[in-house]
Amino acid sequence: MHLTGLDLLFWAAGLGAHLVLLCVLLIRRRFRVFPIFTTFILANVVRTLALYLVEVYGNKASYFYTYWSLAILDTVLQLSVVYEMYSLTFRPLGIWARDLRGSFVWLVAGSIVVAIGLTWLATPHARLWMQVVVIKGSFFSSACMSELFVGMIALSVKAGLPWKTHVARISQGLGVYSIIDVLIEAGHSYFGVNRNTQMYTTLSHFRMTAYLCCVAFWIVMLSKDAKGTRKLPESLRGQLILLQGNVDLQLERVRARRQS
Amino acid sequence: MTKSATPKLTFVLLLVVLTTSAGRAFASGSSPTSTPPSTTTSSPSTPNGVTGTDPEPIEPDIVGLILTILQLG
Amino acid sequence: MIDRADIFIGAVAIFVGSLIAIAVYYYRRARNSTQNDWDSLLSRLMRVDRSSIAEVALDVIDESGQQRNDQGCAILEPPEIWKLLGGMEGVEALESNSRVLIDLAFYLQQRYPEALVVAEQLRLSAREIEWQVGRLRGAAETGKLAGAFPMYGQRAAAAYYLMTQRLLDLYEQGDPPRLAALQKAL
Repeated sequence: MHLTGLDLLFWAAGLGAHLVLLCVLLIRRRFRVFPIFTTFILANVVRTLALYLVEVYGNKASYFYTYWSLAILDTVLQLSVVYEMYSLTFRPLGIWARDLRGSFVWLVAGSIVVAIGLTWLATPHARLWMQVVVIKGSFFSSACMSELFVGMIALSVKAGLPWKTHVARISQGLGVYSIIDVLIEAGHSYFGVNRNTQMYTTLSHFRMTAYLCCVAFWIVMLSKDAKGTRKLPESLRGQLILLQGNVDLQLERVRARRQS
Repeated sequence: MTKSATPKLTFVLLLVVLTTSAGRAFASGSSPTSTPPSTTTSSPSTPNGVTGTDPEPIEPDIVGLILTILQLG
Repeated sequence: MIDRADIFIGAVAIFVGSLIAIAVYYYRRARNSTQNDWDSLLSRLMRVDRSSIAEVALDVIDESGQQRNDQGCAILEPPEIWKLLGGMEGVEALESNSRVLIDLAFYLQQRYPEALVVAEQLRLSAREIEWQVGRLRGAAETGKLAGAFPMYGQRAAAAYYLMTQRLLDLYEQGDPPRLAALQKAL
């Protein structure tokens, strides 16, 4: 596969950015709070190295199939990161907030339905069915990802659940990247793979630029400490515990009245 | 041509014919029946929902894949 | 002539525009919440007739929150309850106040991680009130209030009464100078 100087520059920049981010996650001990996100970044580093070896020692076919096999793993890891962010936001006491369980089901189902609808509308021009599957599959996953991140913002605000600083930063980065990627995938679908390859190249480089900005954002934000928290005044602590116990008890009684 | 090579080659040719005709069936209605050879000097990218900045391959190169598998076999 | 590809691009534009609009709206709402302090939150509480709320609530529970099973319980009729709550305006005030209570819980959880358990309980309770009042408002708008009120109206009032009672107790013990202001607000 012939690579231009710009392709190699992006490739090297991506590897460098991932290595720096990995160092930040390890040195600042963020991997303890975000093990799945750390795994995702590590997988990106390993993938780059593996693809480089295949590019140097393999052929065009082996690079193509290695790339797409690893792309499936990448998508699975992205979904796992989404799960991790949801878990850190909507499980304040270690269990999923019970007022939101129904909303999660609707959000996931709605995201899939909307993404399927948009993907069905896409008619990418391509020579091979494999290319159509790849283009449509990529668009579908970007659409789902962006819906899930925006849904997370909406649900957390409606439910009154605050975001921890670093959770917010990781989610913002991936969310913005997903939305940009939806536009880029749509552009690729519109222009197809038969004609206007310069547009393809340009769009892909836009995507890579957006991703590098996202990684740079993570490097800066995750290397900073989260906002300091305050110590609860003793008088307020005791009273709040009393409040919690009483309200819990009273609500149970009120609910029992409904069922009787 | 040896006896074992003939069925292998027949299999390869059949796969190539099936794959390209299936491609026309799945692809959009305006796809051309004959396609020019890919002679790109840069690497035009097939878009994906993937992260990272690794160069994105565009041509599946099915013939190359099948030959690779046969060689490994 | 518009073909399917153009429809696709149009749909994507609407999709992305909607996502950005939703994200910006809720992000701004979140920023407004984080800038609140305890006093500004309390100042958002709308005045409701506390004695009327108490009358509605105490029709089904006693002062300690126990369900009443005596002969004199649950005697208020839906029209009386509706009048005591102050009609739609009163219901909207309850809804608005439950939102403030959710923001209070948000404030606690954000600034005092130690108060997580209590804040979460307060949040869940306020969300339940919000849900019940929301059902009540929906029933009023579709003309099905008579059927919905026995189920949602008194429960919402009872839950609201208990929660605000506990908040007042909290202030009485912790911050007496502000108690009068809180009583007025609630």
